[in-house]
This record gives sequence, C-alpha cells and structure tokens, in this order.
Amino acid sequence: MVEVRLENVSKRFGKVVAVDNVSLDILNGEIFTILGPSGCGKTTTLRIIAGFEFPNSGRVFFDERDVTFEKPYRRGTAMVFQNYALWPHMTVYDNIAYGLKLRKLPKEEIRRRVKWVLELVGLVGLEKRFPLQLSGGQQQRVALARAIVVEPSVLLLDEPLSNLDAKLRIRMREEIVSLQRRLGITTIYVTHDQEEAMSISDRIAIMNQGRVYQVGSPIEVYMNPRNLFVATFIGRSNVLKGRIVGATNGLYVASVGTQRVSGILMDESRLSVGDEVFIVIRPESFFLVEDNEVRSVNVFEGKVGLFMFIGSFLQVKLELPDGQKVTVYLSPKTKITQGETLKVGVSPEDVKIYKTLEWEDDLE
Amino acid sequence: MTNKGHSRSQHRLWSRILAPYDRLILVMIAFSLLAFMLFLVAPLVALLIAPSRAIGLSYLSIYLNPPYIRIDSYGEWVKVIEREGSVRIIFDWVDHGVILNTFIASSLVTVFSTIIGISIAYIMSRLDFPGKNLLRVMVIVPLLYTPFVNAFVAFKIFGPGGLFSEIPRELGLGFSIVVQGLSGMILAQTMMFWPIVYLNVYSSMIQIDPSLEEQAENLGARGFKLFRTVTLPLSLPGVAAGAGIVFLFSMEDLAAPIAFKVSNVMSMKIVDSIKSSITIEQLHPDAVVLSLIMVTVAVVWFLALKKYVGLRQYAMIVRGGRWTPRTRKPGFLAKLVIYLVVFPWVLFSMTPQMGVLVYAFTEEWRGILPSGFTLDHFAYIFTDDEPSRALRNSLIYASAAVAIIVILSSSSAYVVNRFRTRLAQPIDTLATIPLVIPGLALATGLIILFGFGPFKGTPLDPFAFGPALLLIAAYTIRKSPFTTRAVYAGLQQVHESLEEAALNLGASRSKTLFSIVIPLIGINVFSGALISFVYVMAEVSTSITIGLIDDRQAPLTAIMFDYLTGGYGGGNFINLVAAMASLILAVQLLVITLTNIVLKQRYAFIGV
Repeated sequence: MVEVRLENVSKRFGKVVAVDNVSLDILNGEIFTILGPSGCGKTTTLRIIAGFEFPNSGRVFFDERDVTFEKPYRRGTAMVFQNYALWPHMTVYDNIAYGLKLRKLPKEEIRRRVKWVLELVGLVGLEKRFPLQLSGGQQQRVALARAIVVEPSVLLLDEPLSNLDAKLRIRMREEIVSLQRRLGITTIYVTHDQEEAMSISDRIAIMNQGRVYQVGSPIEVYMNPRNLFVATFIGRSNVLKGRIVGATNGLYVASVGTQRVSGILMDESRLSVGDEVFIVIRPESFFLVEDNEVRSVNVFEGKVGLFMFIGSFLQVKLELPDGQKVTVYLSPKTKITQGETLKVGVSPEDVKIYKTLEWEDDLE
Repeated sequence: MTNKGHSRSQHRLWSRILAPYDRLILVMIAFSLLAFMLFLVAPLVALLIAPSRAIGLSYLSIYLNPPYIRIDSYGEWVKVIEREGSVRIIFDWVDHGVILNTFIASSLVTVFSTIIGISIAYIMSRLDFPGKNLLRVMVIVPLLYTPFVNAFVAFKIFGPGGLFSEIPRELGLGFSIVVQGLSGMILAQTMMFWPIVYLNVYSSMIQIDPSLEEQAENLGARGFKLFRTVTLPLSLPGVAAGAGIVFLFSMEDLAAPIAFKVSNVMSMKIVDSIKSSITIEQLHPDAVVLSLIMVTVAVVWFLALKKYVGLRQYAMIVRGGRWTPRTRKPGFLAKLVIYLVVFPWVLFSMTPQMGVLVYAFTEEWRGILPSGFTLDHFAYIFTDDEPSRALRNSLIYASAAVAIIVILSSSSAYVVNRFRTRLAQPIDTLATIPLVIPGLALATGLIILFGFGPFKGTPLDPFAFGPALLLIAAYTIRKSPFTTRAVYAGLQQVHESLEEAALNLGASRSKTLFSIVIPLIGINVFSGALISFVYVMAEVSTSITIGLIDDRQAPLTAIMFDYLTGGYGGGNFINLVAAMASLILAVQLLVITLTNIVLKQRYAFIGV
C-alpha cells in the first residue's frame, strides 16, 4: 500500500490544458474520488498516475519514489477500465491469471489466488467462459478481479460503473466499497456521478477545467463548498444575485431585491459594503414561515409558480418580487396552489455567500 | 546553476521527451523512417536535383516545345472513310505532344471513369434488383491484374479487324467502328479503371447514415435533387479519392499504350529513356523530367486530398455495414438502364480478362474467333529456362519483399495508430504515399541514386550486382501500403485499453504485443501480407525498368513486357504472355477468396 502524491502536475494536449497545476495527496488505504463533469481532466489525471500519460510539468510520487516518468508496467498499479478492457481471446481464468503469470508465480499459487479472487467477486464456475459470454455486471467483476488479484499498491478505477444499469450500479458500488475495506488498498476512483462519489468515498477532489476546486470528505464538500463551482456542481442549489449592505456577528448581510439575507462568506477573507455577491441556498434548507410570524431577514416571499410532487418532497418554484426564482423543497404534505403567495425562511448558516465568479458559463 | 544541476535538468528533459516511448517503439520508428527515407524520399530528392546535373536547368525549356508540347497539332479524333459502299468510322487521335497527350488522355479517362463509377455505385448502393449479387462480383473482374495482356485483348476486340468493330457490318448495318491510337488507349483504360471509382464511391455511399437522406426526403427532396444535394456531396471524398487514383494510374499505365501502339505519352517515353540509360549507363534527361512531372501531379493531388477530405478516414474499404442500407426497388426506367446499359457495360469491361484466358488456352487468334485449345503455353513456362527462371525470381522477390513488408507495415501501422506524437507523424504520410507515387518515377530515382549516384558500387547497385536487391527494396516500399492498411484497420478494432490493461499489470511492450495485439490482429497481418504478395507479383513499373538491367535476375512481368514489345524477335508471344498473366490471375483469385474467408468481409483491392 502506498501514498500517492501529485505535485503541481500539468498536462497539455496541443493547446488544450487537460490538467492544470494539480496537487493531490492521496492517503494510504483510503478511497479517494476524483469527481467532475466530462472533460474536466479527471481521467487524464488518473492516466498520469497509471503512467499512460506523462505530465508536461510537475511530479508524481508513490510514497517517496518519484514515478513521474516510470513506465506503466513498473508502477505496480492496477486499473479497472471504463470499458473493462477484457481480452476477448482469453478466458476469464486467463484474463485474471495474466498478471500473476507475468510475476512468474508457481502454477499452484496462481490457481489458488485466482480461486480466491473468483470467490471474492462471486464468479466461481465461470472460469472457462470468454468475456463476450458474460453479462455486463460479470464482465465488470472480472475486470475488478483481474486488478485486485495482483495485490496492487494502488487500485485505479476509471468510471467502472458507467456501463451498468442503475440497479446494478448501486449493488456494484457497495461491493467495491466492502472489497476495498477488506483489502485496504489505496484506491483512486474517477467518476462524473456525484451520488456515486458521495456514497463510496473517504475523500473527494472536485475538478473542473483541469483544476482541482476542492478536496474534502463528502460531508465537507456538500455542506461547505469553498467556491461557487463546487456549490453549484454538488447537489442542487439556488444562486441569487445580491449586494452587501453590512455585517453582524461574523455574518454578512446582503440585499436581494427588497429582502435581506444574512449568511456566511465562503471564498474570500472580507467584503465591503456595496460588493456584488452570489448567494447560494440549497432547496432543502428552506422551511415554511407562518403568515403571522414577524421576521426581517432570511425570509423570502414569492408567488408560487410550477410545483411538482416528487414523492419524498414537494418541489416548488417561487418567483421573488424582483423576478429572481428560487426552488424550494417542502414537506410533501404542504397544501399550496399555483399563484398564491408563500413565505419561506432559511437559517443564516445555510446561506453561503461567494464573491468570485470565474466560471460564469457553468451557471447557465 | 552548477554543472551537476545542469546535467540533472538535462536528464529530466530527456526523460520527459522519451517517456512515452519504449525501446521497442523507438526501434520501430527508426526502422520505418530509415526504410522510407532511403528508398522513397532519397530517390525522389535525387530525381529533383538530377535535372540540373544531367542537362542543366537552362535546357529544361525544350520540354515546352515539340515533341513534348505542341499546339500546331495534326490528326483527327474521328474519321469517316467510305470504301466500296461500306463505311468505316475511325476513332483516332490528335497529337499534341508527349506531355499534353498524357494529360488529355488521363483527364478523359478520369472523367469517363468517374461518370460511370458514380452511376453504378449509386445503382448498387440504393437499388435492389434481381442479379445484383452477380453484378457485384462482375465489377471486380476488370480490376484483376493481368499485366499488359488485357489491353492487348482490348486492341484485338476493338482495333482494326477486331471482333466488336465488325459487328455492325455483320449485322447488316453497313458500317464498322474502329478504335485506335489514343482513342483506343482511352477506351482500354476506362474499361480497366472505372471500377476504382465505383469501389471508392460505393463505400462512401453505403457509409452515409440513411437518416441524412430520409431527412432530406422528409423536407421534400427526391430523385435527382436528393442525389445532387445530399448523396453526391456526402460521397465526394470517395469520388475525389477514386478519380485521383484513376488519373494517376492512367498517367502511368503502359499496357494500353503498348497495345494501341501509342508511343507519344509520358509513361512510354520514360520507359524508353530508362532503357537507353541502362544501355549506355548514363542518365537520359527524358526519364528525369517526365518522372518529375508525374511525381508533382501525384504529390499535389495527395496533399490536397489529405488536407481537404482526410485521406486516412477513407483509406479502408473494409465494410461491415452498420446500418441497414436504404434500398428500394427500381422503377421501369431504372430497370431499363440496369439491364440494357449497366449489365452490358460491365460485361464489356470484363472482356479483356476473359480474352486473356482465351489467349492462354488457345493456339492462335488471328481471325475473329480463336482456335485450337492447348496447354502448351503453360507447359512452356514451367519447362523453358527463361520463363521458369523469371517465375522463380518473382516468387523469391515476392516472398522476400513480403517478409520485410510484414515488419515494416506492422511497425509503421502500430506507431501511427498508437502514437500521435511528433516523432510518429511523418511515418503516417510516408506509409501511405507510396500508393500514389508513380512507380516509373520511383524507378528512375532509384536508378539515379543506386546506379549512378552516391550508392554506386554498393550491393544495391543494379549495374554492379544485378537488380535483385534493389527490386526487393522497391517492391517493399511500393506494396507495403496494402499491408499497412490491413494492419491499421485491425488495430482500430483493438481498443487501446486492452494493451494498457496488460501494461498496467506489468507486461512489457513486447510482451503486450505478442500476448495481446498479435493474437487479436494476426489475421489482418496475414491477409494484408497476401494482398501485398499479389501486388508484388503483378508489379510492372520497377520490374520492367530496374528488372531488365540483368536478364538473369528479371522478374516475370519484366519478361512479359520484353516478349510483348519485341525484345524477343518480333513480339508475337501474346499467347505465352497471356498464360503468364493467367498464372498471376490465378494467384489473385486465390488470395481474394482466402481473405474473404478469413476476414469474412469484402476486401476491395484498389483504393487509397
């Protein structure tokens, strides 16, 4: 098991900067996920760690060993590819035994370890099949078995579940987590599916346009997104435009139309009155405010637009007096009608304020 | 910076540059580059600098005057002669000088072939009619290589006193048609080359997503409008590739000019001047200047095509067919065209190949019909010294060349397919371009470089040691693209991650190649090698030039040429040469059948 460290790694393909000055510290034995939209550089980062791409600058370390320019076959990683990359001309047994044969293990030992891993992934009895005779889920398990049987120092998973149907995806991700916990292999997992990332990871790195925007535990990145990109990329968020009018008790107060909102500043050290800011509130942070309750801040009054019954909650679009719209999740039992006026509140710790908007395009 | 630090940063720079390459890959790149540089680029460069040394640049202007280019042309394209109540319509030619003649003939052949090729491709890809599968097989026949002889058959059939020319008179129509000279050459070449356009356009047309045409129909386009606005524009890459190849092939062709006794074209002039260069062991300027013109045309066309349509994208003509092609039943008019025009025309195009067999198996063919079935010609090939030695030479050369081709093509295809780096890029072009470089020009360049130039006296010098080694090198370069293409097509079907998975588990590059790549694409390499083998056996341009430097080392096609053009007392060896051509034909049929069985796919032979 090793610790994987990336120091200021950049990779360009022609004029495109795929990975832009990325530094990561992946701890021994953890499941570390790189999450981001397609084209964000997450797969390239993984391929740099595997040795299929070489960075234009920066270094890669496995513990203290500099592996930046090491050939892939000398790194001791094992990768599970998005398309599984099972060799169609070899049986399941031969696919799994391939890495062991390369390590020149005795025949008996190879047989024993293949048997062990087949039991681990639940494929006993399919040794003699060829990959094309297997279902998608079975192929996925073979790919996983082929990787873990060599006892790699790092396990690399490149969107391993993206070709499976929704139910199987959930089952396989639970199996991957329980396998990893049993074996304790340092695991780097690449996905664009945030639910997948949230559910399996010890820590998540969120990437966009080649850069890492935040690294943290699933709870951290969800509850305390450090910048507007993470705030809007993870989960659903309302983004409102406002202007700072003051500060009290470490909270900033901003005006949104005629309403006053107080919240926590996330991405800068300080703001001054008059600054334009973005205010992010998750739909589930809202609660209903009774008509007779008197509050001056963090109350939004708006007209009910479209609303949908989702099952576990009611999704309501509120139109604020200044024309901005917010999405609010309310208890499914709430009785409302279209066009009526509704008052909702939110506590200050659920209101995040951001100053910087360098990723304006992503908001559309 | 200290010395030590300096060397360390230099070391890192090298690590960075070399990181993607294994030693094996570097060897592959070096081998490919060396082979193409030495036997393709260097001869062409030699060709380019030769004029100034051979004749002096100031004399180049003679090529702007007769007999190379003439405006005060004489002759007639069509003559009508009335004699004793019978009318002869003679299609002949107007002499505009060697260079213009070639361009006029090649342009016309290209135009005719393109019109015919596009029409038949459209019919084959969009209509469903009884006999379609038969037609599909029939159109391949004109493409079968029967060096020189097919054109002779065309001459026999359409030339003065030929089978077809007398048909109208026999039918009582009172006239006969004779096609001779440049007109005959154009006719013979059109018959030989139109299927090249057909194959390229057909493969473009069946690649068009049917929904594109359906969308156009949905908006109201139909019939010719649909064809003109959607189908044809989308097939243009195929048209451009096919038409270009036809032009180049026509420009370089020797069979038709020999058969129709046209000596005033560039290809014939190059051969003549190489021959005299060989005799006097000194370079004749015609070979150099005319070769340069051919190379220029070829390279300009190739670069234009590569730039505007992306040559490689259309390089493969391996078709599985992902969509159910959009076909419909032809209407009455279309049926008339199919059965009264297309079928007869295709049959007509097959006559040279059928005639070759007739010549090979008969004693003589003096009148309208041949007479006397015999196997003597074949017996002669295997028993007489000269033909059997030539056959043996050809088999040895082809085997040696194919052995090298397998290594060269696998290396260059692998490097090009898997490494899109600056080091690999030139190989991409070098591996494809031999397809379009005229063989006569390459032969001239090779003779300059290895016979007269810096490599004079080395084992590759054809004058000092005989042409065998140089021939093998020329064959290797000229015919490697067929194998390269097959290997490349195979590699495209093997996802790179299959190799990465092996590398990732600790397999070295060579281990990965042998345990993963070769088992998966071995069959492509094999069938590509077979195709290259056939084309080496049938190769004409370098065989009849370099190959004739020493008779004892001459390959089969060289002595076929020699026999036909009177190198052996009068040149009435047509039956014998036809028998040799039939052998080559048999090998081709065998290979086509094998590759079809092995790859379970239609493999079109000619195309870029």
